[in-house]
Amino acid sequence: MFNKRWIVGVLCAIAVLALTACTTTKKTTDNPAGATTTPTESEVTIRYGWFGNPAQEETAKGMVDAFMKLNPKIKVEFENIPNQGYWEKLMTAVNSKTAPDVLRLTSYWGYLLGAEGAALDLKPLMPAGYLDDFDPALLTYAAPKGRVYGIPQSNNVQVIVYNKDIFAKAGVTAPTTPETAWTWDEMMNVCKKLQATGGAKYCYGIYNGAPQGRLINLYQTGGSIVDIQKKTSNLTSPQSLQALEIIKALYDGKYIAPNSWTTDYNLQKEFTAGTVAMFHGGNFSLAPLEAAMPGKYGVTFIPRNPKTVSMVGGEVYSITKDSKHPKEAWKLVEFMSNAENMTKWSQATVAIPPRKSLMGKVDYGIYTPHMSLIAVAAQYGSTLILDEFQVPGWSKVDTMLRERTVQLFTMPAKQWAEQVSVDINKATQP
Amino acid sequence: MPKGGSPLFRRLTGVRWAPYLFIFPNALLLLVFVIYPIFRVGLLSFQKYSILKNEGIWVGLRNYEAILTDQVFIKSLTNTVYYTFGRVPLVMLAGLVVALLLNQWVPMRGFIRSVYFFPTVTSMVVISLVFRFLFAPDLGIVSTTLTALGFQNLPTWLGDPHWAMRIVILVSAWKGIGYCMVLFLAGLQGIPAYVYEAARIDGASNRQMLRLITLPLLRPTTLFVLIISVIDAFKVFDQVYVMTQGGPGYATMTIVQYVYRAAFQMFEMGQASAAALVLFAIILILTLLQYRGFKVGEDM
Amino acid sequence: MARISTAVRFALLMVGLGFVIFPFVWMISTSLRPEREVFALTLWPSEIMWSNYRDAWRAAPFARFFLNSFIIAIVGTGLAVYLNAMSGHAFSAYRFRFKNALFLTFLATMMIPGQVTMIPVFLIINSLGWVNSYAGVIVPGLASAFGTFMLRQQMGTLPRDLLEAARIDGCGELGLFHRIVLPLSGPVLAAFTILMFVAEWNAFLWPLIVLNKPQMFTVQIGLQRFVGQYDVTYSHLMAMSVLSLAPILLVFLAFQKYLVQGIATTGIKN
Repeated sequence: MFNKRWIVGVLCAIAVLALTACTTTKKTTDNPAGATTTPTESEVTIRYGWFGNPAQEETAKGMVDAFMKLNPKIKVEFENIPNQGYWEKLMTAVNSKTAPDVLRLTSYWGYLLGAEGAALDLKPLMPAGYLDDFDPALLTYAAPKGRVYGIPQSNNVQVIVYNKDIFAKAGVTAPTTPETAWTWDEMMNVCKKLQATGGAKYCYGIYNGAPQGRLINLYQTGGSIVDIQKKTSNLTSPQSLQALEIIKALYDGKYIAPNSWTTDYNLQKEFTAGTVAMFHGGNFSLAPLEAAMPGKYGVTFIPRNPKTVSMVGGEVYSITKDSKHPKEAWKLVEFMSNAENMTKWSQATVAIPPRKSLMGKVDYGIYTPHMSLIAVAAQYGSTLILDEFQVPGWSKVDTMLRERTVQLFTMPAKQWAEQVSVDINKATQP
Repeated sequence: MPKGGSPLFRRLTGVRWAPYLFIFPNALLLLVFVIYPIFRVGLLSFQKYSILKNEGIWVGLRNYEAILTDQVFIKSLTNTVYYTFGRVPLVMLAGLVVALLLNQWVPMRGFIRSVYFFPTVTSMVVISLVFRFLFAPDLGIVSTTLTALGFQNLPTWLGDPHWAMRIVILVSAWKGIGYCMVLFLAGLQGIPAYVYEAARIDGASNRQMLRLITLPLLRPTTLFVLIISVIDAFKVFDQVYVMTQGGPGYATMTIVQYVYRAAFQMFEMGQASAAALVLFAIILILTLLQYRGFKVGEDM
Repeated sequence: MARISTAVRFALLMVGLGFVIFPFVWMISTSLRPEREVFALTLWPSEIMWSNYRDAWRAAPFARFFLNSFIIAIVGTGLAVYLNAMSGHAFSAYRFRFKNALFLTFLATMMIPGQVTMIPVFLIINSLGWVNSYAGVIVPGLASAFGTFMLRQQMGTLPRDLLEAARIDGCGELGLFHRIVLPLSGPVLAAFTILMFVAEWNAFLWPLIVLNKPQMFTVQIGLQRFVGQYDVTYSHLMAMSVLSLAPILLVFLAFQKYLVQGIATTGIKN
């Protein structure tokens, strides 16, 4: 008993000491704005928040190391952002001034931070004419209201990825040109074959990321999630409903898994396990698949109605609003976006470089045949998607749609569209 | 009078003032982090608050209007009630049964009790992740075992709106059995053996003893466990966040998950506060109701 | 109570035990498998991959996460025990003006759940500049009257004469507290310590809200690292889960007697 009390007492003493030590250490590292740690050499530390899969981490870290070698006075702390739970805290992190200086963001988050004023306008920081080499289409989502909040890093294009073995078994050949891409009806026939003789449980792994990707066939028929001009829901328009009915047909025909749009559904794992014959992925799927099933996958176009469609987006580099070292942060961004590093990054992530001078010049090694098809698909990216980002309240629409798309499976398309429209309008017209 | 120290020090630590000194740190903490916040939540619930600008605009009852017309919020209320009605009886019954079985000697009694209790001290995050793995659709051990046993067309568990909440309840109950068991065991051991002996001499059967002796004498414990379990159930968050994030299609959206979502995913701190106040009101009412029921029960 | 045979009771308990143990067994089994086998129905993996532990550890700065969790748990527990012992002692050993009012206030705060006040508390932490710090996680967690009541009840059983005798001997109130009350309250202090440590170690929601910088994450938050955007590496996740349970298991094995006692007495008290 005496021992326990002493343990408690000692723990308390340690506790108090530790607490004071921790809070004082925090105070010395969090300098007041503008001041540097040591007055003699102005060494600066900036934080770089990066996300991605482990295979890409090496490339990312390599770039940062190269940067630090060229800029000995700038120290970069590389932070690997976890996937779940981080994005939603980004806003609060910026608000409490605890966000990293430089962030690698998806295009969507780049736009959002910019629109909410949480990211720095990069125009003042960059040299004149800096953006001339960049594909103008890619700049729109990270450049609301004419300011530039993000520098595009890579251009991701969505296509269908299929399992070569299953296709061979079922005697199915994938289309190689956009004109010969399947119609949705043809695709469902293909699905029948793939499930009957190909050995797949489900023909199609429908995209389970951003809502616009999930409902990508909306954009083929002139539909969309919101009406850009009126800023209200467009899901109940005849064109949109037509697209929704196609998804329902896929579900009713049992060509897609019933839990496709739930948090547990692991699209990539299902594909590598052979449960799914083809899925809506993109160039970002290639490297992980090469690791899991080398050479056993191919790419083709998303079915056409009447033309094929794709979703084009990518990642951007942004600098957060309250960064204490914006100039140094810009230097890092500039470095990572230069031609050499962009090429490296495009090879590592098998993505299309946003610089016009680099397009068509990146060597993708084994991915070359796939990338040439993907480059064609990129031309069919819907611009409506980028415009939708800019509708006020879009972030709420995005969150809400991610939650509600799964309900489409179990009710008539019109009813679903009407119910969801109510919520969409609440978000866009507060 | 204590020796040593300045007169002020001796005065402050004398019998008269010492209690205030002792209470002061806790009282201050409670004031700053509990009492003030509950009022602030009230205030916030009438504002539209921007996390980025750190300022609130007065909007009166708009937030309440918004959440009460939000079918997601209504669903979160009904879901939480469903969850409570599912979990609480399950965990109390299981805890009671185990306690009854353990109340008398069995071999390895201490070990068995420890094992049943261990899940209580584990982290809900870890347990949720493990169960998410066990219940992976088609591939997880539960599905593969059931398939091997001949079941077909298995649901997708956490991806199925009808099953998701049941799994959440199962996980919560699994984790909570040990806690109830310990409380019931303590209550059972408060019942003296001679009461049973006397009853047995009078010819009472096992079932009669259970019904007429054990359960009535356990009533204080049972009510205590009930209050704790119900309040706990209304605060459910960790497992929902980790396993389903409130899905599929809001099937597992609970009140606290709604508050978190409103605050950190929809950036509507005002609405989140309104929802939090509703939760508080519910808990308050439940607590008072159950204490009232307890008092009435005691008088009987 | 009933004369159900020991054998039957034992058998029933064993069946239940199986259900309780099974997830842990499967967790350990999965942690030792190669990733491609995580869904296989066999209990024994084809090769025992101790490397999973090493790889999982390296997948994220888990050394840092464990350190953070330990600091938060130990400091938080130490402070909670000390502060609640003080207020528990105050309520049990003294009579003073406003005692009843304060007591009821403390009691009332126990009806306000943390999930209700988390937004304003976050705003307070934010304005104090404590976001992303240990203090931001620990200090709000100390604001709970539960410990006061748990310790007060036990401290009330200390004989008055002992305290009076010490006072006559010239022992000041502080000395009384430190040299007599605390040592004699060992068991309940131990019980509360364990409860607090477990709660702090397992805490998820509040650290999730307060901590933004990956370097400050706790183990519970860090486990999310294995839940990727497109894939979940189950073998690593299970390995890390096992490791995260290890401190709790040790604490549990060492102190379960006190823990069980502590919980049981809160039930009886009512």
